[in-house]
Amino acid sequence: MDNLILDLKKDIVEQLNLQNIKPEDIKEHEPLFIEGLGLDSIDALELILLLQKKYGIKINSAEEGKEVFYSVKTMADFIKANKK
Amino acid sequence: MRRVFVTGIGITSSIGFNVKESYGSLCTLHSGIGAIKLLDTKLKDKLPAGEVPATDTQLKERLNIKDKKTYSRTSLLALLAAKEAIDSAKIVPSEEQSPIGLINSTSVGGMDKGEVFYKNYINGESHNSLKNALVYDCGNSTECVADYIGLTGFTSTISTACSSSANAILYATKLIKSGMHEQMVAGGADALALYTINGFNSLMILSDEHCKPYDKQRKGLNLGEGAAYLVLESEEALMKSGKKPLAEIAGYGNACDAYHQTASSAEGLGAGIAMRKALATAGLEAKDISYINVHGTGTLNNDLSEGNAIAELFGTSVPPFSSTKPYTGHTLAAAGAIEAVFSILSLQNQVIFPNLNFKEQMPELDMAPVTTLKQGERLNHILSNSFGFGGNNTSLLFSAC
Amino acid sequence: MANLFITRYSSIKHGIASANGKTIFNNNAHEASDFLKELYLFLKTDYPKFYKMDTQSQLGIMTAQLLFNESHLPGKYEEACIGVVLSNSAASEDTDSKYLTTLEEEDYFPSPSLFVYTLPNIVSGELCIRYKIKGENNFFISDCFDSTILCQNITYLMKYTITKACVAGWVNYKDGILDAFLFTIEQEAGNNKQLLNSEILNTLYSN
Repeated sequence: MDNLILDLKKDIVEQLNLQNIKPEDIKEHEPLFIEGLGLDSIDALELILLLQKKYGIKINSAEEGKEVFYSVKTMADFIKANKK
Repeated sequence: MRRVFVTGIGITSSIGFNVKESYGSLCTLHSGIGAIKLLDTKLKDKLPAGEVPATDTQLKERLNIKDKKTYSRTSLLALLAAKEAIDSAKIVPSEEQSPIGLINSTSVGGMDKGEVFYKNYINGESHNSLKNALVYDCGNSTECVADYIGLTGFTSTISTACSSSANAILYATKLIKSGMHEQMVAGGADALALYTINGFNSLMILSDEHCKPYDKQRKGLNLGEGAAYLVLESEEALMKSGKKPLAEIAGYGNACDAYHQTASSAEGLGAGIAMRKALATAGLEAKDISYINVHGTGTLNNDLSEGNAIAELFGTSVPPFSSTKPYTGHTLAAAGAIEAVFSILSLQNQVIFPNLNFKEQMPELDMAPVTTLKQGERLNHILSNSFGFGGNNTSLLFSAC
Repeated sequence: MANLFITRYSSIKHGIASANGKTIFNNNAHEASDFLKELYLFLKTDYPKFYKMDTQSQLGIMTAQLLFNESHLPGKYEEACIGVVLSNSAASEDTDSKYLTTLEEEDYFPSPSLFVYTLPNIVSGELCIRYKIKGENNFFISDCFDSTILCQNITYLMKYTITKACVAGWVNYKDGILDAFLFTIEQEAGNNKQLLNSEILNTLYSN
């Protein structure tokens, strides 16, 4: 699980072009959207793409993504539960 | 300031190849949205769109183009609509008269051919495909229209996403008002392309059903393709020719929402400023508006944002309104001009076209669109809204003559 | 109508970032995006959204940052009274091709964050978002820098609409080359006292 969390942090920085942030700066329980990292709706769509590309998990709507992408931890839990 | 009038209109979209066919479809509630048949996309069975039911070859036949040059689909659609507009204004451009200008617009440009070139290039087969790259840029369809019609005046291309052709009309109007030209052709064109369908799909704002603007259950927009042009003339030019105008461009407004690259602010601030400017330039008040042809794409974001802006401006007296995008799909850059033509048809025939597919009012708004073909009340002044990515919001105000 | 004045101008071209003709930063960085990132850091910019933008929008935002100083334009006029008139020849060509690579069969993952930048006027949108500008905005595509079309538009806006000031110019990123020139137009002369006309704009752009 720890490796997954670390990988996810690296992926988030890379996929979302967060060049001013280091993976270790992201706290796993910190909200990703609005507060915390302050990601926006386009970032949410890129995260949906990331899940599909790297983990083969398809999310069908932005609404479905809301709970999954709350934090790095919720993302990791979702991937563990759904990875193909 | 000088007044500017519309003397010709031309349109091609999924509901008709010309004004007559389009008007017929509007009145018989016939939508052009359906399964994609011509564009070879993986998404064709999943996402309905408003495709013009003619291949590029068939479009060329309609235009009587026999040369072997490569034309982008956007250009072919543009030529059909622009030709109809200039013919309907009974203008034959010639050297004896003052030059007529053209303000064209597009967001897709020649991307349908650009995609072909790109694929060939990646596969190392580009040597026969360079002609496709040459029609790729935004200005190419402008040059095609100017050459085909014989327009030798000031020419330009506007590209501001979904407000492009509304801005083209706005800009052409200003050029006449300022005395630079007596006559202008203004409008825009966009064709469907793999690029666009995949891009909008990645934003998750396309609906897999027919769109339902302003409906509580709306799921997103349907893409469309098409072109439309207006011929605009100054009051002086009109007096010389004795022509009867179709409508007056009485007001216009453009503003930036300044909120997000692709979403609108919840309050619709930019939309509100644009509509207010249109009223102010026309010297009218909110209560003078007979009908609004709303941008109404059917996305969760737009309809709420635009609805809030309308509620704020009109208060408890929101005029009848409808979105005509359930007929044609969202034709992107061409939308402003296509909906300008529909607004002019409304004024000419004193009819409001319905907002198809609407069933359930949005709980956040205290208003619902017109859902049947409506005649009876006098239509004097119509607002037509077109809002583009980048927060570029335009509102045009057409008045009956 | 009273004359209109070019009150400030800025440019990023040939590895040099300048404001009012004075070099602020130069760098021989080979890659355009590296140059812009170094400029961002050099100017101690605090605007993390910069990193998510495509190169053309980054170019527009940094040229605008050079253009505006604290006492200038945004804040001096009401939001809806500042107009934006931009132009270029590339439209959004660079990002268009990057986005196209995400549609390739073998690796088919259309990218939303690239797609949103495949329109030339997104750079105007980004400028308006950062500086809270809500006035009329337009984006023209021309073969090359066209001072005539810019002058016409600005003059019309300032003469016949509620627009009291304009941000205008050229923001073009094509074939790896940065070429941006922005200027502000107001009704009062300011220190530069340069009248708005095509010839002066052409001279300022070419220098």
